[in-house]
Amino acid sequence: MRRLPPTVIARSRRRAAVLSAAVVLTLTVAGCAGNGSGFTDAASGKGGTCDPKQVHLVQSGRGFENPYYVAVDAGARAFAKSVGLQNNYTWIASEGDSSKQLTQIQSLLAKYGRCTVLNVDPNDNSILPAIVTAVQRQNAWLVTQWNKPDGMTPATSSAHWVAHMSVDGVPQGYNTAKALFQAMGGKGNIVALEGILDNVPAQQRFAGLQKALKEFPQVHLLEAQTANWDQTQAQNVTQTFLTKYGDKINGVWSANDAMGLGAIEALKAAGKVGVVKVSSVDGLQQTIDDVKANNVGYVATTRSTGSVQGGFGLAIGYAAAIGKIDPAKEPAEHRAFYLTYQGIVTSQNAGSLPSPTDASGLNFNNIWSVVASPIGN
Amino acid sequence: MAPDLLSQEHEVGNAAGASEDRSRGGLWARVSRIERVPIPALAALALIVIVFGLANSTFLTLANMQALADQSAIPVVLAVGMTFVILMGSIDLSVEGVVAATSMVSALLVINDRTHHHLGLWAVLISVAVGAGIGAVAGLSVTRLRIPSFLVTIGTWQIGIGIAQVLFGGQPPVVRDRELLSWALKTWLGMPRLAFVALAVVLLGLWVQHMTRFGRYAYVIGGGEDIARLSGIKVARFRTLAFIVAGACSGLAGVMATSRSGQGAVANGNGYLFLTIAGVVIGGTLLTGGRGGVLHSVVGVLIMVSITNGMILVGISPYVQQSVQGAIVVLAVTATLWRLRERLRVVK
Repeated sequence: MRRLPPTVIARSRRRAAVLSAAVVLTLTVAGCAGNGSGFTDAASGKGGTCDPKQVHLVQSGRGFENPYYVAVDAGARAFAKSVGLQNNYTWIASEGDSSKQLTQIQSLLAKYGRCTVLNVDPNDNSILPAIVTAVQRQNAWLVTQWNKPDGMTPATSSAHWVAHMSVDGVPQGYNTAKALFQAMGGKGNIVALEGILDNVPAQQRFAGLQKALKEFPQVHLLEAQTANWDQTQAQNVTQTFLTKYGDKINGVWSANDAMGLGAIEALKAAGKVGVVKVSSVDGLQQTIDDVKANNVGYVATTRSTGSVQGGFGLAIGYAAAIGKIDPAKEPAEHRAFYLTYQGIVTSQNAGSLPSPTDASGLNFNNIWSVVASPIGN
Repeated sequence: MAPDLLSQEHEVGNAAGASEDRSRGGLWARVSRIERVPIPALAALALIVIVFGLANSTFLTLANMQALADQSAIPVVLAVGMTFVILMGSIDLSVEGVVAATSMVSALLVINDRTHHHLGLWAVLISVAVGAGIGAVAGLSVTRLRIPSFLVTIGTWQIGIGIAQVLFGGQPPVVRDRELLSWALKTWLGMPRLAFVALAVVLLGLWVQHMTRFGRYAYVIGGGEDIARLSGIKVARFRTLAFIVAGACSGLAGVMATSRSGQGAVANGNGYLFLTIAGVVIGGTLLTGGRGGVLHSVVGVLIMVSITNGMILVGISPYVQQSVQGAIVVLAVTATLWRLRERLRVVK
């Protein structure tokens, strides 16, 4: 019951992509026939030998009803364009359905074979081993985002699983909390809206909040509740907090933008908008607009990581496919890492930052420039 | 089954409520047989109010009543529509999809930051019509194509989400229409205006249930479709109408969700299916049809919303809230359906 069904947009785009892909396939087959000796290299775990112009790029995420994936798609397209492969790019939407995601990936692998580069946001941890197996069987190239099972890493499982990248929620939660506390004058009471409780980013962001609370002894956390990343739930929880604590609340720290926007609506209805400050994480356009307008008390959000994850995810996989890097020889911190912290958005910089779906500023010359720190097992 | 149906019809038709020939058993047994008013559900609600009221003094304050009214408004409207479908023994799973679609439609037709429409009240009517249209597709598929409502409405749910996603296009339209926003932000007599919208829908629903042929036949059809058919009732027509009513209610709920969240979003429908069905069932409307009513569903929704609200006020850890909520739902359903358990035991 998480994120739902058929995005018609994605579907029609997919259809267009499949058609164009059919053309590309013919070209690929023709292209591969010329350098047949290269096939074995990929299987032995060295870097790929694909013709840079015959690589097919695939980006898999949930769906465009979530603006985050619109940003991911924008970044992925920007990379595809930078290597002249914009016609070899396919976006596939899992719509929150793990088995559908696996089926889509298997079909595309069957179609494009070893020169497929996949950048996948797995719907959940448990589906990842099956995706890795499918990629390995075709000797294709995989980069993953956000979710991976504990104890399973690219370095120990397969050279074809080139890398795994995620976003460390601790600095995000910490820095947005600090901006919130500063806007409150360094003292007062806050309530917190948490994400789904067993979700790693939700836990990391909350840990970031707690770290900031230690540095601001005059700021007190009245209560933390989960609103499951959901705007309507967050609106209800905030409303209830407002009746429970009344004027004691000076700030709302939210683990994502959707919940922050819900809090703003609850504050509007209670006539406290602007008086109670709000911060959140993610960098949705709507939140950035509120932060920029500086009139509803929305203090801060983080910069969106979507376009970086989409663009650099494909860039790393592509580098492996064309043999520019050999995954097996890369250090561990290149195989599983957190992205460099992208900074926060406040009213000071909101006007000058590019929109989350503007990927024109991404520079793919150094694919490892986004590596911040290794992810342990 | 037949005598049951008759006596129930008797009650529905008679304002008097409990009939004298039901004097068997104690006072509670007699009171709990009154079907016009959801006595067990009301008792459960009273118990919840007392427990939370004692546990935390804020629960019964005016401010919290406002919060409860605001949080109940949308699911109450959904539950009123759902009641007629369930009374006839069908189910409508499409609420989240229809809310998503009509939330987008309404947001794009009033003043917003994406399009240049400003249809005002017409946007509300169009959204309700879109909801009714999706309901009609479901109703006609059930009655003319004879596909179970369970399957059809999963389909119309997806259709609704699909429409919403096409209209969404990656960026939610933010509503700038002050009139529509004031529904959620302004109050009348200290209560949010959305609550008055819900109240109007409830009163309309009660009128339909008691005073129209559609409302009274809903019980007959749910009680035994074969009997209804033999009596010359055009079952297919009324069943289709029930889905249209439910769709229209979801359409209105979509507009309310847009007003409340200040934007059109696919996610605006999230979570309402469980809340609506749980509310309807806890209120005492049977999923098999023929028993219950609008008032029952409203009380059921109030129980669900009060539990969520009360647990936060009392300060129950978010880690155990889910289980506590589940346990309370099971208890409330047991209390509500106690009478039926007794009846089954007697029958066996």
